[in-house]
Amino acid sequence: MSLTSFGFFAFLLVGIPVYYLSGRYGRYVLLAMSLYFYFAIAPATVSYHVKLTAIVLYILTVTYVGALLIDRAKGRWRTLLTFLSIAGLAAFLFFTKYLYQILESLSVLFHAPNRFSFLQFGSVIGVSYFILSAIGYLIDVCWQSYPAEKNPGTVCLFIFFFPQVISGPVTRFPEMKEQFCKRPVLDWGTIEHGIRRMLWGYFKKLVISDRFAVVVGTVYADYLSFSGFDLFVATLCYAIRLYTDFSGCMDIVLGAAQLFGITLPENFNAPFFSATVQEFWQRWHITLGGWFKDYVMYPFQKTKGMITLGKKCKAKFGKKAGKKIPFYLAMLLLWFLIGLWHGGAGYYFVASAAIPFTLLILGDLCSPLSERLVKLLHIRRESAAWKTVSYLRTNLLLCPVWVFVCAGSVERGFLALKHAVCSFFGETNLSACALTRTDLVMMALGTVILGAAEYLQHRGTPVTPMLDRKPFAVKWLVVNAEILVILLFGLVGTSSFIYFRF
Amino acid sequence: MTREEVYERLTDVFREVFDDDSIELRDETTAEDIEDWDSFEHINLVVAVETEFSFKIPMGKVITMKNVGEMVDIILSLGK
Repeated sequence: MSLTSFGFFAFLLVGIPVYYLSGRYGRYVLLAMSLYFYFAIAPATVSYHVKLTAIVLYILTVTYVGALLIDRAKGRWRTLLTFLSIAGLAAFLFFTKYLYQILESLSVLFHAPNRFSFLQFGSVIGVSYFILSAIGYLIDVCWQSYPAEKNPGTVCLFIFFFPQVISGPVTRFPEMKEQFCKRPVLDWGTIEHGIRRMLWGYFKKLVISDRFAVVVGTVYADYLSFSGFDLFVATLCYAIRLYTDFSGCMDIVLGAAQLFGITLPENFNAPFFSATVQEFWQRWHITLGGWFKDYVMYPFQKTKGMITLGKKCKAKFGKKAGKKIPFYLAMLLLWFLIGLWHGGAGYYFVASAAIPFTLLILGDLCSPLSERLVKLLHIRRESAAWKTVSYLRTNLLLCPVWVFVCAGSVERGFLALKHAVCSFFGETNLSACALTRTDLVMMALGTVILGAAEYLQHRGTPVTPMLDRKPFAVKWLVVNAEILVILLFGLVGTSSFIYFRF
Repeated sequence: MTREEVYERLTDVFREVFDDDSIELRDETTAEDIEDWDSFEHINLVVAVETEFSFKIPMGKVITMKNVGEMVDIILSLGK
């Protein structure tokens, strides 16, 4: 079963009435559905299901028992138990995701034969997401933000809640528990919003994303036979492809949760309408950034060593410059861990850690100069022209990030960048993508519709409440038109989501 | 310590951290209202508040406080 399969719709159609009829047992229906879903999306072999059962039991035991023990312990025992519980979860993540990757990279680096295939654990869907949620819960209990949960079913549901378990959003326990424990109340408005949100996600994924993927795949498969301009176009296509894929997946996940009256946190907020690179990362994969900020960056900045360093730097370099050094160190740690979270492969480190970190630091260092320039040239920051220039600048600056992800290795990434610059005016070969007229029309139309929807959200007037105010007939028409477009023009049956691999 | 006293001392801390003598605090004041109050300055602010009032604010509170009113509530509860 995948989010774009018939099986998923059948699963929802059976689950929704059972959930709303279950009364105070609602959370147990959700738990049963979540565990069924988690096993149904995994490879259908007995050995894999046995392995998955062991994984679920391990994660649940470490989180549930760990939190109870942390809650009861005091002083150093509390710290030690928190450390051990987190280590238990982090070790599992390391073993399933990174160990083989690191050993394989070392084998390549030292030209040694790769004898580590026995360590290939097989993919554990959603592991990077639910491990973060579980670790966040343990840390909150350690910080005494709330007591440990006594019901193991609620903890299990929090970790493996079915729409989010595959690729987030990363959730926080109190908000989820409150929603899981309430009696299900059928609200047609929420169901309608859920259906509309899911349709919007399917439109983004099946109509827009998968078509842009064709351009990206064709050009990056053999980029030397394309011009630098073609490479630039393919890179922009990848930005749209990745965004519509991931945010489309989130729309489906958030919409599916809404069908059960559960509101999940948003992961995107019109990121392409960001005036700075810093703003872009605040609007992209919001729950991941928020998790690392709250549980890694803030505690790190608040350690004794960092506070002392801050004081020393202020005394030596002055108030303004001095306090930047601890901040840059905290950012370095944050982006290193985000790079590691993305899989630990070299090119992901460059794309999701080294380049964003460098851009943010450069942006911060250059901001006084930029302020002076803006004043000198009498530029009005509120003007539409300046805002447009800022949005374009941000998206251009982010292109190297996408180049390294598309290239698939650090070496190929640098070569692609060099090729893009040196052969920019070479002969274009984009016709090799073999897109039909329908594809081109759907890509153009899809981008315009997406851009308009994102702009409205950025302006603070999102489409959903606007459509809510329209008569029923208009809403009915929009929903049916969307279904028709997805069925007629969606690349149904060929899809998988990029962020599933994390 | 009264709420008014906390506000008076807290306003001085904010003005010192953000280098802005025009800052006036209200319960509803959030990071949106003060130009330089971003994720970077948040911890500098928390450390300055801790130094001023001579106690540690638990990390759980640091990451969940939503506005100045909540910060004052925390200070009052910890200062008892």
